[in-house]
Amino acid sequence: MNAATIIAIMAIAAILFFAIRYIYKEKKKGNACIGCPYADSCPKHRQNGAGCGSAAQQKINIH
Amino acid sequence: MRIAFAGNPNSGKTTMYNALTGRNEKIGNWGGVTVGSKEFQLKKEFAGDKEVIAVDLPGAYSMSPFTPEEGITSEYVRTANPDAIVNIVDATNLSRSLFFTTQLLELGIPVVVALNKTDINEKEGTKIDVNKLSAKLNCPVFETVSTENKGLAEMIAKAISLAGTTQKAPYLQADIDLHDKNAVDAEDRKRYSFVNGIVNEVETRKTLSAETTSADKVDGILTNPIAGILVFAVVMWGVFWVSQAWLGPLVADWLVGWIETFQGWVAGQLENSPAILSALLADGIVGGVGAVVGFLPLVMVMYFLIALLEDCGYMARVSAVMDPIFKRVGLSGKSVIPVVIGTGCGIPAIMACRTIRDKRERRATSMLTTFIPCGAKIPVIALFAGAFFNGAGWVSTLSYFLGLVLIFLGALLIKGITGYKYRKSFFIMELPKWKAPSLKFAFKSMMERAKAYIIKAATIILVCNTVVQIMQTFNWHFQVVEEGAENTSILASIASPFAILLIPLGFGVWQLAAAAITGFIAKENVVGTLAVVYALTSFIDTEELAMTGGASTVAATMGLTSVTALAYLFFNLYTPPCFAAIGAMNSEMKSRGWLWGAIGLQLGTGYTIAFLINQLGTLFTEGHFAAGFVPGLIAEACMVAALILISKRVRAHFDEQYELHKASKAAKAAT
Amino acid sequence: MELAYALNKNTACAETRNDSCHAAGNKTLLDAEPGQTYIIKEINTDDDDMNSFLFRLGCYQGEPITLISKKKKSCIVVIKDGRYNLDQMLSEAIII
Repeated sequence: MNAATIIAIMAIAAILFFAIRYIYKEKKKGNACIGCPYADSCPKHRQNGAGCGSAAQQKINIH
Repeated sequence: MRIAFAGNPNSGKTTMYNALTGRNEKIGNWGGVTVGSKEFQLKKEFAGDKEVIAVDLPGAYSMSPFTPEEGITSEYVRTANPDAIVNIVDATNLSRSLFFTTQLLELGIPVVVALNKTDINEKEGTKIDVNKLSAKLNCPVFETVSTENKGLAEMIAKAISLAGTTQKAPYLQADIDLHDKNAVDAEDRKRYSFVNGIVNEVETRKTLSAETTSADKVDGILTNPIAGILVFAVVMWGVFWVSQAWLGPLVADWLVGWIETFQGWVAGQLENSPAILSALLADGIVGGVGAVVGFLPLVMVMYFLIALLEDCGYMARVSAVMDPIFKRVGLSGKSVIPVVIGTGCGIPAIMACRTIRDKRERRATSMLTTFIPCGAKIPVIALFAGAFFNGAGWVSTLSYFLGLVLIFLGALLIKGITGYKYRKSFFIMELPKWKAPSLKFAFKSMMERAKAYIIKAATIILVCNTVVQIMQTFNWHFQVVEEGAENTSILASIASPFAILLIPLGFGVWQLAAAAITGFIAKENVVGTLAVVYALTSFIDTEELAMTGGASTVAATMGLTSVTALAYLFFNLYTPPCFAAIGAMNSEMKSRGWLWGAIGLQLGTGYTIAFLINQLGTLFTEGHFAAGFVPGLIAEACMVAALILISKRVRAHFDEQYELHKASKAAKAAT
Repeated sequence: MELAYALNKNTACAETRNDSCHAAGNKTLLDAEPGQTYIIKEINTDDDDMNSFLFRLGCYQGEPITLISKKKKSCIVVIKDGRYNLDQMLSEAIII
């Protein structure tokens, strides 16, 4: 096992760790579409908060 | 403390909200851009040391909602008890805006009026006496220009200081029976005459708004049924051409060169390491993600141009000119806006359907709008245009216009299935004043989206590519598959059953089936997966590829002819969008039946288009039908049968409802 | 000219089954001249929600309305200080 291999293994592990952690965090925040190009300008971006959830809208969703 | 932003559509609420909070919410020069409420903290420079949340609401003409998004606004100010309301008033249309203002003033919540767009008034020589208006309305009034941050600080400071106080209304609705339509009408009329009285006293106009101006002549051409549609076609073609055939690829070529160099370097470093490691890092992660990121310039240029279009006021004209056509197929002119937004991303497009009033039209539009290729599909289009059609610009233009045709056909189909009878459907669209699009805004929105694109590539796409790479490398016993035995890998065994279904379409191999499946997670995955399963990266650099024989290498590796390549491309474009968009459809339609109908329709459309292109194309180029013609025909027959069955059931249900309606009417008449 | 006008009127009636058509002499926005300002006599969309929506835009009985341009299937009008595009059905429902 040479130095390049070790670095590569560590790099893959780090990249995957951060990618998965990011996805997990966003999902937990209630973001349905990670990295959607419309991002912040999309009302769906923050569903749990003010998102598209008006009181009226959410009432219907519950049913 | 929460401050709500309310006002007429297109009065500049979101622009002001963005300026005050530093957010980058979507804006556009037409009514109904904002379809949901949003909240965020005010910037420190405006809020001081207090914690102030600004709430941006969709535009509304009054407290009685007409469209679903108007309902959000009236519901919010009525029930959520904000500490203060900033009423944004379009100063160029004072007489209409104040109707809503007087209603807000009755709520008892302190109101500050922001007289927005005063720069346009200055240009037109319209003067409004702010002090007098303030006295008449019994609330503070500030002149603002939210596009230039003018007057915002004073206005918001006043709103913060007023929070918690009680507003005294200048006009109170008399106590009437709210169920008595005539009484309500009479009251509203009185309110309007009160408003008209104020406007007469405070406003002096130099140019009458009823005068015909040169802008009206332009509007005349743009809303002309023939010239207007031609202009729209040329404008959209221009957007696609610049972003996908000229400027976009120019930048992309350069970017791809760097990515390839980097990939080569990584592979070089790993020469002495196990092959699997090199495959995972160089091919899977760097190659797969790089293949997607390589298309970023195309997407960025497109977002920039679309942002310019949305900002200048052209969209309202497009929707006016398209209305008669859309109406004929059972949609509304407002369906155009989701379609254009859909070129960027399907999810906001589906949500924009909320401004459509009729439920059936709304559902039908949200079901069909994703036929327009979104930004995530651009890499897929560009890949196939580059590898199989010499980078021809017509491929992307054809993709968009075929999408439009499919929307029309789909709408006709839905009209047929639901047994939709001719019904009065009115269309009214405000034509906002033209405005020079802000380059700064377009640039900002482009960068924002570019950032999101990179994040997506570096997270979702990266993880998917890694998983695909691993599934391709190992078999079910977790042994590395040997060369020549690729068909035993996990990926191959999962994707093969699907591949059989695709034989009539001309691309029944597991690699292509796997790419199409990963596309449901995110459409860019099609490119990423193809890069991984075929170990290719340089998709886009057509000129260089031609020299090294690369374009034909790509084509040869995939084993597709130009006919089957086109079939595969269209299959990916017109099958259901990504899961996120399907989720958005679900929450907008609020009906299981419609959602499954939508997914079925999209699957059927993608399958049928690919089937037709493959079979007819092969017949044309080789003089015989392609493999699997009969099974494909049987599949098509099943789809038609399912359609007829659904249509029968829906119609029976429709008649039943109609009968019930009649019965209740008869009962009413009897009593 | 007279005949053409009458024919036009008839087709309009047939298409929308608008009750107000029966009352002779009622001019709708479709019969108006571009560039002219008219006073609205009646709004008749057969749809209460639509009527009240138009009302809130400032389009109601007794208010002025200016026709800017007219097409086969739509027209552009000025109500209060805003420009709107109306479709044929809506133009026919506005009696001036």
